[in-house]
Amino acid sequence: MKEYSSLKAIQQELQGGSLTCSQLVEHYLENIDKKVDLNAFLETYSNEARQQAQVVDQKIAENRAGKLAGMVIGIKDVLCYQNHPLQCSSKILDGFESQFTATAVQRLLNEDVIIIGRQNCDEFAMGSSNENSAFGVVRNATNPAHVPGGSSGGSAVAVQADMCLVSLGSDTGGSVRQPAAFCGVVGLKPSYGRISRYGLAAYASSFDCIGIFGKNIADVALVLEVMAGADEFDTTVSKKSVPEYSKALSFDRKAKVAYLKETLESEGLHPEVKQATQATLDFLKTEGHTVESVDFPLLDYILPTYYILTTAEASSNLSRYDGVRYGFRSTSAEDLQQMYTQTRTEGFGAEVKRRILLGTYVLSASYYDAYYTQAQKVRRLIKDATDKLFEQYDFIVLPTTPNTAFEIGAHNDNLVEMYLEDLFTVQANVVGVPAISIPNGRATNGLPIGLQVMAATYQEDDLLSFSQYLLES
Amino acid sequence: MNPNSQPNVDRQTLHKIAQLARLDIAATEEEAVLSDLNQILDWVEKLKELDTEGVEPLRFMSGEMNNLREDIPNNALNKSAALKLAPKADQDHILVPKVLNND
Repeated sequence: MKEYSSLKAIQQELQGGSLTCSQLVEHYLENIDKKVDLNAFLETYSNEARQQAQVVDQKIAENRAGKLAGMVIGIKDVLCYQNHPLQCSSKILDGFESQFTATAVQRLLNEDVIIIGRQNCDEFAMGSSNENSAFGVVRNATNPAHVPGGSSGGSAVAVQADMCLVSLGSDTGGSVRQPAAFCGVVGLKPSYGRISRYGLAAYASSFDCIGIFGKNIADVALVLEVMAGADEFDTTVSKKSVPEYSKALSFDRKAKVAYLKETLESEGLHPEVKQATQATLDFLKTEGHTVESVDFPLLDYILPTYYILTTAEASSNLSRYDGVRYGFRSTSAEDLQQMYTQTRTEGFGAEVKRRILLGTYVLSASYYDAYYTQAQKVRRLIKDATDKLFEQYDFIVLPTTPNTAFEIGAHNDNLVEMYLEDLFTVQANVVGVPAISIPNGRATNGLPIGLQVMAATYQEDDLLSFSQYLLES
Repeated sequence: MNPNSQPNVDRQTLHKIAQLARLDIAATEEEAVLSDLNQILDWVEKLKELDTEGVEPLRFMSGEMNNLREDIPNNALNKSAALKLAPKADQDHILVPKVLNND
């Protein structure tokens, strides 16, 4: 079967009778099987997907199918799906099964999406390369010696290698956009609070967002419009009404675009990535859009702010994994205290433990003000400076990542080097604005390059239509 | 970078925070964990360069306050479902090792 690159193409054929959901599901299952070495899926729900395909085919025949009929998706292993295992790619959740379905996932199911499986990721979404999973590394389909990015690496590869049409991931510091860039697909992180997080395993609650991977803007826009909006199970989700993003994708005005001088002049920026970004900016200028360089001297402070606050929040969020109520429990303990400690020591991987320790340290009484409070203050400075830019400009355009996908193992010896991979993506999470990564050509080594666009809070409609315009041009 | 090259975290502090986090650091891992933590802490020290006098810490990202729903009693998770996932349980309780080991 050929590769379908949009829901629109699929739905046309479903309506025309030349394709069925059952055939589609078989196609994706075959691809997952064929590309099992990429390690993108932790588990496929083949029988259920086949059954659901029949149900949706029947609905189509009876003309009562939902908006997403024909869409086959995969979900990152951090999202609850009732009566299905959920492990956050960690040993500590061995044997865990979700007791309810995440609101975002349920809303997609209500529109007849078919879920084909759950996807590998960095343990508890902590990582930039998908090398931190208890279930092994995920490989980039363009070049399997290279990483797919992280933490939603499996979700990105699944779309890249046509194992499903759309994936759900989560983005705390770039975990959707960075792997989208490394894998040459579209990856959206909406505004903080746009999508309910009920049923999303928490990493850093003032940053976490559910995000979307797709092959085009229209599919991502449609999925966003179905998932977004008020939910009585999440007090942090916005009650703002949700526009019909998928119906407003034409961009026919002149945009005011800023680029941050510090990003294009950044020392570690790969020349080909720089060139690709510059080419986009030149194109926009030629087309009559305003493109201006702005200073953002706070750039170098964003990542340290991010690491202090996210590790602090993680140390608190992950305290729930103690071996008492669910998941893995160490058998070697003799009393309760020992059981907690042994369970966590044996259950968590190295990166997760490192972040818990760091978070515990920055929250401890003697260092709280020096690190945690200071980072919260700097967060406000960064937010104010970014908000100010959005008073003058519609969009900020920058590379998604400083480099293309690196080789597996490349950053094993240097943690800070690994953390710097997120240099350009964390800003959107630190200030809560929406951001997207779209494909922007390939480097001479064949690996994809991503372009990132950020917009003001809740301006997903502009962000998506502008991205559509960039991709069409 | 840390100007006085005094490591932020020493062995004693490491074990103290590990104890708070209910994690155990094996003797063979000590050095590597210390070096990792200090590498990261040296790097985040950079924030101290910024003058934040008078800046109000940003604590909440949601602009909408008191986003509450009506409090309606509801048995969201029944007992058997709650006990089903426990590593050790009887009919009514989750079981754990003794709190005090006073053999």
